[in-house]
Amino acid sequence: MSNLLSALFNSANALNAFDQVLEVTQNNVANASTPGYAKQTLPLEALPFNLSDGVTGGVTVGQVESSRDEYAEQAVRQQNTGLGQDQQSVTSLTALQSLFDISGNTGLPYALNQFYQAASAWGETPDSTPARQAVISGASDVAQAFQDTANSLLSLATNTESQIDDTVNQINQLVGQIATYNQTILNSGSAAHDAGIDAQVHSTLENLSQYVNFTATQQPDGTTTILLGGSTPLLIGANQYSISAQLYTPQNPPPVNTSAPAQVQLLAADGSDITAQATSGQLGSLLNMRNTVLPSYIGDSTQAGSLNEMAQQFADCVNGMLTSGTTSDGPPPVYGVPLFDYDDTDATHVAQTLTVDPNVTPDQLPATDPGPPYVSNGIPLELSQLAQPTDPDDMIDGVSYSEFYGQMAANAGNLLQSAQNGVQVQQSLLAQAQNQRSQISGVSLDEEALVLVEFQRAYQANSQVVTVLNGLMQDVLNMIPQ
Amino acid sequence: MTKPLSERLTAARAVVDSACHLLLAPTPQQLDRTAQLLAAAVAEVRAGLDEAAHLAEPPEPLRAEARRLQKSIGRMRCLLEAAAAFHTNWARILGALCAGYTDRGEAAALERGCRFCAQG
Repeated sequence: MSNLLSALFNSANALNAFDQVLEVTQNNVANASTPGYAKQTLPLEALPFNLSDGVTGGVTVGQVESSRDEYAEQAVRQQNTGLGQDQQSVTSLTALQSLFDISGNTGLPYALNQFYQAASAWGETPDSTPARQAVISGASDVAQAFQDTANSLLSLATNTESQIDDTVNQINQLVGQIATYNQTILNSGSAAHDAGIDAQVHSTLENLSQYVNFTATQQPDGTTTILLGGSTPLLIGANQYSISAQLYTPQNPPPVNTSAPAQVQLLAADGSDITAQATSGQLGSLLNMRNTVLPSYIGDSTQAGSLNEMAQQFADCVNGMLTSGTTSDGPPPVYGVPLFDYDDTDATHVAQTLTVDPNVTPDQLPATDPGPPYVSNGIPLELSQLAQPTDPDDMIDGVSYSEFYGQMAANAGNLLQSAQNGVQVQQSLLAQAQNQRSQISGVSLDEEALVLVEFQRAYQANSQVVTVLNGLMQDVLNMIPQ
Repeated sequence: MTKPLSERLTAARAVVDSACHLLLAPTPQQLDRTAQLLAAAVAEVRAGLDEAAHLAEPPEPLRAEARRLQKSIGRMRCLLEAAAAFHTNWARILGALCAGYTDRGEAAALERGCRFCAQG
């Protein structure tokens, strides 16, 4: 009789165990599309069986196990960070490239061409007042084009600062969400095993990974610790350490351009500078754009920026030609006056302040180069030859002003193309990491050790072929005539 | 059959792209197939190089096609390196989990001894 009761009791226990397993399975099915959810399993365990002692065995359930692998999660987040960085770079650099029209139909290249043509026409009729007036108008257009380009770049810098603020707020908000989950876990120990909270934490971490590079580690108490760049705490337990961004002027090396556009500094909760740690993600890309790419055009505390260099050299070159020419042979000879004016107190202000002196009249423009040799239309000819200069003094970095502008545009274009290629590659890498995450989940260490041996052999074979293929491609490119 | 180099490069790029697609889910089996595909791409480019002297082609389109193939190879290399890094690091972690750390503080090498499986 006791055996019959034991059998019934065991059967009831078994049914109860199977019921719990079924519940976990149903939960898996119901959450198949839940972001961040990882499949769970409930292992069945055998009970002791010894009839002589009246222990009749049976089955019971063990602890719920998650198939989540934190290593694979971290790999996915790492690739997501890279993708976020490249996508942000494409957005920022597309805006930058749009400021450089290299078609020659608008902007600075167009204004330069018009100025050169006006100078050329003046050279044909050196005494013509309308021709001189056309040169002054052309110079005004060039100055205006420099101002427009500089202001657009400064506006882009301001816009990037706003985006950095928005991204920092977004990061703080997402970390705050995880801090709330951590608090829930600390308040109730059982929440550490709650699949719902676990899914929300991992979904939020994946969302966070597009913004900045960080490492997340699960603590023994079930809470998640987040470190920006692997070292600056953003979250420990329920304590959030918010980051912030501010404008600053680096003092080391000492600033040369004291009124230059400031840089953006990222600060930890304790006020320390952590800009160098945000190397990737949208924030890393925005900081690079604001602190490195844009200053190469508009300058910062230590550099004038290529646009300002170009504006200053062009203005000085034209002014130098005009002041060396004469409007009257005299005696005494009457020399020309400078046409361009700019704020020379700071090298980063040249392009945005470049103007044509409104007091200059057409009859103050000198056509004659007193030489030797004396050339009656020498100055207009020199001005028009700036289009295709042969004298190194009329060039900037060994090229004409139009070519120098083309190089600035090409730099932006190359960066954009590189970022676009990066997006394609990162999308593939993210897809690969996501696939690896699904492959790795639930695999036993023992099984995986065997698979890794196969992987190593396969990688070696593939790497050798890729190296050969890459070498062949170089041969192909070398073979094609330039 | 003699084919223009540009056609050979286009064919090689299609092969490399399909290898990239396989590497999105890098299992040992997929990697074996990838190696075969890459070997086919190498053969295609090599044949093109051998025949190039006989067929003169306009350099610009040829260069553009070569750049596209180079870009695909770059993507392939990134995928391969990322997958290799993933598994190498994992092997290191497994080594540390299974056998601890060496005297120099590095993760111990993963034991790959023989094993047998009895069923019945």
